[in-house]
Amino acid sequence: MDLVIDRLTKQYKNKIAVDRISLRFTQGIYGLLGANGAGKTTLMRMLCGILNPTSGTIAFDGIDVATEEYRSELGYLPQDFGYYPDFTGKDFLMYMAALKGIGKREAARKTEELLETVSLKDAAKKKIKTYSGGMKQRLGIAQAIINDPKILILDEPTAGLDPKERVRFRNMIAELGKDSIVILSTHIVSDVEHIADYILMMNQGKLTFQGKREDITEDMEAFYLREFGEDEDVHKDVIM
Amino acid sequence: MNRIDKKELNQFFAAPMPERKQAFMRQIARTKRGRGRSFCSMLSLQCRYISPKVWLFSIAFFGFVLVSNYFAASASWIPVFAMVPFLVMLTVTESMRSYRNGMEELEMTTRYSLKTVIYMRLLVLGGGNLLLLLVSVFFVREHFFSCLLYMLTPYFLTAAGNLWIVRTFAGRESNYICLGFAALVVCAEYQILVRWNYFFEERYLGAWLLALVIFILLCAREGQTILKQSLALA
Amino acid sequence: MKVDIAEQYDKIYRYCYFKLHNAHLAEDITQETFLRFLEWDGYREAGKPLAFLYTVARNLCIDEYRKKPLEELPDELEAEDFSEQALRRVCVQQTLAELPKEEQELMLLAYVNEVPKQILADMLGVSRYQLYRRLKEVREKCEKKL
Repeated sequence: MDLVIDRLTKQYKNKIAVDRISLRFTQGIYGLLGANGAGKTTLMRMLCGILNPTSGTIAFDGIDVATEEYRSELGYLPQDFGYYPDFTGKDFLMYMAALKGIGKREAARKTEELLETVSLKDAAKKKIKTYSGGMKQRLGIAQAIINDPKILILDEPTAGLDPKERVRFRNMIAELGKDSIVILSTHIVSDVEHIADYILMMNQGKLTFQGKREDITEDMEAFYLREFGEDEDVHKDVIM
Repeated sequence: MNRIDKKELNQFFAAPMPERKQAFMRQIARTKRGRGRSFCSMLSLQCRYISPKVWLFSIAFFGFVLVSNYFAASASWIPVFAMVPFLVMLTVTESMRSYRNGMEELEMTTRYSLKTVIYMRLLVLGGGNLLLLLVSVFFVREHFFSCLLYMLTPYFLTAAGNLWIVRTFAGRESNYICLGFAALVVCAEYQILVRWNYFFEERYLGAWLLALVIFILLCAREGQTILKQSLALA
Repeated sequence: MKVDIAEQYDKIYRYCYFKLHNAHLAEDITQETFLRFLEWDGYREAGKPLAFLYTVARNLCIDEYRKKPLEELPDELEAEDFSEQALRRVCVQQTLAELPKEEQELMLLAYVNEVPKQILADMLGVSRYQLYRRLKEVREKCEKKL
């Protein structure tokens, strides 16, 4: 299981959002840290095939990102997503399951199972427009994992979750990390501290740090601040 | 009591918890899923998710045509002529629903991605429309081909315009702009009917044909661009 | 008879653990068993899926034995306290431990893994009546010991 990024770059007219990043992901949980505008979301969207890179390649076990085969192995939770207004939570999951190529019977079974796991069973038949932010987020997580993806990309997954939900989420991810590549980006250092196997840090489009979580012996907060220098203004949105 | 009960047996044969069960079950699920869905299955799936409003309007349209022809002295293609742009508008806006509701990113990452979704919707709705039109025109027994021409021209004009609008304007407004465009086309039709009726004379058939061809090409180009864009953003 | 993999996973695992006393190996063999099960064309051939599972598991365990002799972990027989409950537990464990392996296996399959009696009888190549008799013998033996 190998997700290889080679000199990936995304350049806009006046800005380089992602600057020649090369990485090799294997099974485990990767915490992607960095302030707003560091390029985390851009990188993730390229990994999902939503954004075309300016240059560089992305391949999973040799399969290029722009193929149906790659997408079959993919699960994605964007920072923000819409929904069809008449959909209930259950409708939404069934619809996404269908698009992911899951047969009807299995889709029904998995939908039931996941709604239970993310504690949305009671709200399953209610329309998504009545959901709170946290509920919608949990629904988003459910759709991301419904096809047991080998590559799971989560953009700020714990935003809007209360502490109890956050713990449940961490346990879910820890389990998935056993046989998938999980890449999660967050502002919340403590999330990453507890479940990431590897830490990646981005600043202004560049990868400034990559290493195993266990090799970071000092306190994560201190480490983070040190890595990013004294530019605290940039990081005031990072929650410790 | 000398009988050994079930609990004690369970204790004796107890094993440590298996650690890799869930991962294994996931792997099996993935393998079973390998085959995926057939083209027809996907088509029927998209049919089910198409908004009922669209089906209702199409049926209403058809009904309207039937009824007005029934009561008219001679079969008339004019009602069809008038309704075509709205029918097309519905097709295009419904096909591009994903963008309006912010679902396009999620749908771009699935196995049967946004491109397939849009393509299928266009196929189902567009195909359905054309069929409806053909049948409606069929009622007009004379001048079948010229009627068809008069029908298809605004059809492809509206389609091209709407596709361009949806591609250019994101969000909910695109719906209204499409409606506006359709209304414009209808106005133009009305003008032709009322004031420039001579356009329906035989000598102008060539002009209509040329217009039709141009609109079809525009439509095809817009459609192609949309499908390409739905794969990934620039 | 349809086999629910999720349900049978734990049972086959327990069976393999009984045979090998090594959790990691037991799980490896459990997974291998199910992988072969999924490739098995068996619904066309005669033979019950459950019997197939146990047969494959047993054979894979035997292969493991042959690879290298596995150390038998001693069963813990020390009581932590002398309450009647604990004493009884120790006695029960000892009684069961003193049974020959085949009889232990029989108890595991019949009562813990709850293999349907007919299928179990077929697996062992005996009639259902003979199976019931054997089970009764073993139970009485245990009771006498206790």
